[in-house]
Amino acid sequence: MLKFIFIRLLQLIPVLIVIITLTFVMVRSIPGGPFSAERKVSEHVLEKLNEHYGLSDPLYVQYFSYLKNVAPKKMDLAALVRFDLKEGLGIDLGPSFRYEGRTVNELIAESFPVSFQLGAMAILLALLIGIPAGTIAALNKNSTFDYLPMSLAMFGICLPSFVLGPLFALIFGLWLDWFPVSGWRAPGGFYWSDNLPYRVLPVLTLSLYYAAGLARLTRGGMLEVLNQDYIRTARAKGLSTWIVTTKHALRAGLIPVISYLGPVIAGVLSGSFIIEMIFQIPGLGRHFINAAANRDYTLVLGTVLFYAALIIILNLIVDIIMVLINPKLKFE
Amino acid sequence: MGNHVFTRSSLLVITLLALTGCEPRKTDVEIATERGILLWANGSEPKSLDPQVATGVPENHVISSLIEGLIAYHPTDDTAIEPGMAERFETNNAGNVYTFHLRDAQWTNGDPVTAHDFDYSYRRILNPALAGEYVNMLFVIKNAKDYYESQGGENPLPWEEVGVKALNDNTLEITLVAPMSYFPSMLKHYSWFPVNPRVIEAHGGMTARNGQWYQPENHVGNGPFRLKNWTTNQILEVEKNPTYWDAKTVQLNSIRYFPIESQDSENRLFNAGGVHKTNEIPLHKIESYKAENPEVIRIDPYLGTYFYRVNVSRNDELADKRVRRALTLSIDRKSLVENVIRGGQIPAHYFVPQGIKGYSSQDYFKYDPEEARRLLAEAGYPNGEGFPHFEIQYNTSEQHKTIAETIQQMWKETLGINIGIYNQEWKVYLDAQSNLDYDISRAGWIGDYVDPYTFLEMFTTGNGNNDTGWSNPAYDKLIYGAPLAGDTERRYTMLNDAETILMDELPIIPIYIYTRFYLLHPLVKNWNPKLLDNRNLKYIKLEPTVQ
Repeated sequence: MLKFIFIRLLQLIPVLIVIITLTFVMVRSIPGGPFSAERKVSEHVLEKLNEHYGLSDPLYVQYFSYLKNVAPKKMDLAALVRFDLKEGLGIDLGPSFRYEGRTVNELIAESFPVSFQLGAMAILLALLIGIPAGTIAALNKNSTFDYLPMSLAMFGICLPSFVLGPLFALIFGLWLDWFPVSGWRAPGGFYWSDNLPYRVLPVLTLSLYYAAGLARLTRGGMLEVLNQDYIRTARAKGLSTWIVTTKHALRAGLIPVISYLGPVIAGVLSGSFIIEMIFQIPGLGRHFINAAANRDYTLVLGTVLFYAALIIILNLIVDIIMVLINPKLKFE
Repeated sequence: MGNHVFTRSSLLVITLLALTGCEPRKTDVEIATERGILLWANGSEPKSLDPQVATGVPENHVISSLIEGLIAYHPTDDTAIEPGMAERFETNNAGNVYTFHLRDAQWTNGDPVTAHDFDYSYRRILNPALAGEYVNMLFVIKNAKDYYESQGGENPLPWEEVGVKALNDNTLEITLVAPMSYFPSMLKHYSWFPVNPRVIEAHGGMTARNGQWYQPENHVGNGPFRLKNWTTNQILEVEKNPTYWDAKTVQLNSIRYFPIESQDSENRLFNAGGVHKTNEIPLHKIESYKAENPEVIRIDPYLGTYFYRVNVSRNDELADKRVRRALTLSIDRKSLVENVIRGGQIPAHYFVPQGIKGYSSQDYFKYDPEEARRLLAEAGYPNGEGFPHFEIQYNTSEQHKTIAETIQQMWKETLGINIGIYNQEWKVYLDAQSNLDYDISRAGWIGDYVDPYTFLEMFTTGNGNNDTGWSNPAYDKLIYGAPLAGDTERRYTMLNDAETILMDELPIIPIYIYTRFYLLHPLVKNWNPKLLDNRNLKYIKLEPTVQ
């Protein structure tokens, strides 16, 4: 298993280099620069700014020095847990052009935990809604308890989050006044729980699409499993439906669900960009979008690189879980 | 027994919870108003809080709470002089030397604010290594431009040659290139604000752009508020500064600035009682607010012009003055403003917005479809026949699109010509405009200070913001000569002559004068309309509702 992980991590390197190269070429070839503005910066000032941020060097020099700066040089897990890439891996993503005096490392360390919380809560909620709903539907095939959750799931899949988000904000925020419509932390809050109401709408909006997908997958997986001989055997032994479902059927029925988790994680991470914009959440997704619009070259590269590495690593983790849960698979 | 008590107390807790749950939740705005906290949706996240480096309106809103210049913003009148760090000032007879007498004021770290601090600050922005974008503002100081341009060269001009002198701790003398009566007004711009030299030196020195000195733990200012905390993309809070010289006037306990770029998000937040003020209102909502909640909508005049640039260097047709005039005369601005944009904007038949005291603005042209058709025919395109296909470029936005479509329609109906429209992402649009890679391009300009010069200066030959390819020696002469004119009247006459040339040649097509529309909670008091959206925040007050 260690060999498997090692090889997969090794494969990470060429993939990331390709990603950096592509992003670098693309971001530098679009018109406009970080300092272009409606009120133009005068030539001499622009020259100084470019010099200050190292933009006056030839492009290939900038490219290689960037590669050198982002190459991991050490390993400090304690710092990594705080998302401190500089201390943790020796990665220097450079200064941001948009936020004076801030480094891309700082911006990621500050905003990613927010996106991570949002994503983790959304996935958890999606699992909590999707799996029971799918299971219930499968157990009550072709009855109201099947049709109702499944048509709701269809609804969830069809409605994009940029429609659902403002709709929820309107209904639960403005009309019913149950939850705040924007922000992530209570401005004057003293306790962590003060922040909870702020999390409800974004997490719900983000999770519903995946909850719907998970419900449908769970139903499909369960239906297949419930017709298997060993389930009939388990029932014949006189086990209750509860035990049969949870202990025997779910384990096999959830395999498609788990393999779906990889795309879900990627989807939640990239889907959170929109949610963060709608609900004014200070996460990494907002930087990801704004950086491109601001031509904040280092921030674009830094966030792309970070998300790419993250998604690859999370997929690796999903693969490992797959092997652990499904005895038919082996690490290879 | 123990069990019993437990049940009863938990029942009590549940009942209490239920009761509080039923009561209507107090909104953030209600709580904040009681505590004297202004909640302000401030557009985008400030890039910098360094007055010598910053650019932009959201930055200005924050900086003007933290730092006060020699002259402060007057609460109601844009042209009036409100004393700031300077208690008073006088000029010599020629009007080119200003002597400022500083009051006893303190920085938030206890240092006195001295004339030497201003001297240092001006020297700092004039240091090319800092790359301050507003450095040109200070070129009105004698020898400042030469100083700036000679640094790093073979014979750098010594600072002593520049017209800034701290005569003693409390007296600052500024010598200008020429007499300038509007100079005190210019001082309201943050590029003239002071910084504390000791603090700058302690955080990397004069030309460091590391942003360290203005982080909340390091920030030192002299304004009515001081920086309390700042979390990127979330909140920036300033609180009342007890060491401010006029602290007794300051009404608010604190201001919380929220960076919210989406108009829809800030509108939802306002309606949910989350902020006292929004940055803008989505255009399509103005009518419904006017009808349903007129008490929260504010439409203020703004010192800015919305116009189209015409590229006179690319096509023969647009290089023809008669064609440009025909295009200008065939736009019905009144109808555009009243029926399409509907935000109280003023139709612009001139380029410099009205409201600048002493500068006479007049209509240089009017909506005249007959004359427009005649001019186009004279140029060789009767009824638009044979007129080539041009396109209007605009940066992606619903509003610009609507306006471009309307004008496209007006040109088609009046002149019989087919003009296309296309949108570009913001930075691509800026790039195309400065490379003259367009036919007609949407543009806007907001004044830096209340004077026609900040509008007219940009159309001189080769000016970085000209972007039309247009050049006129007589115009250049007037613009370069105006600052040296001496008295205001002569200066304004020269600028007026320049505007006449510009409006005769029409390398730009003025469309309307901006207004600022935003939502403001009625509990916010003393929030007066200001031409440049500059407010002296010490006067802003919150009045809790009487219940």
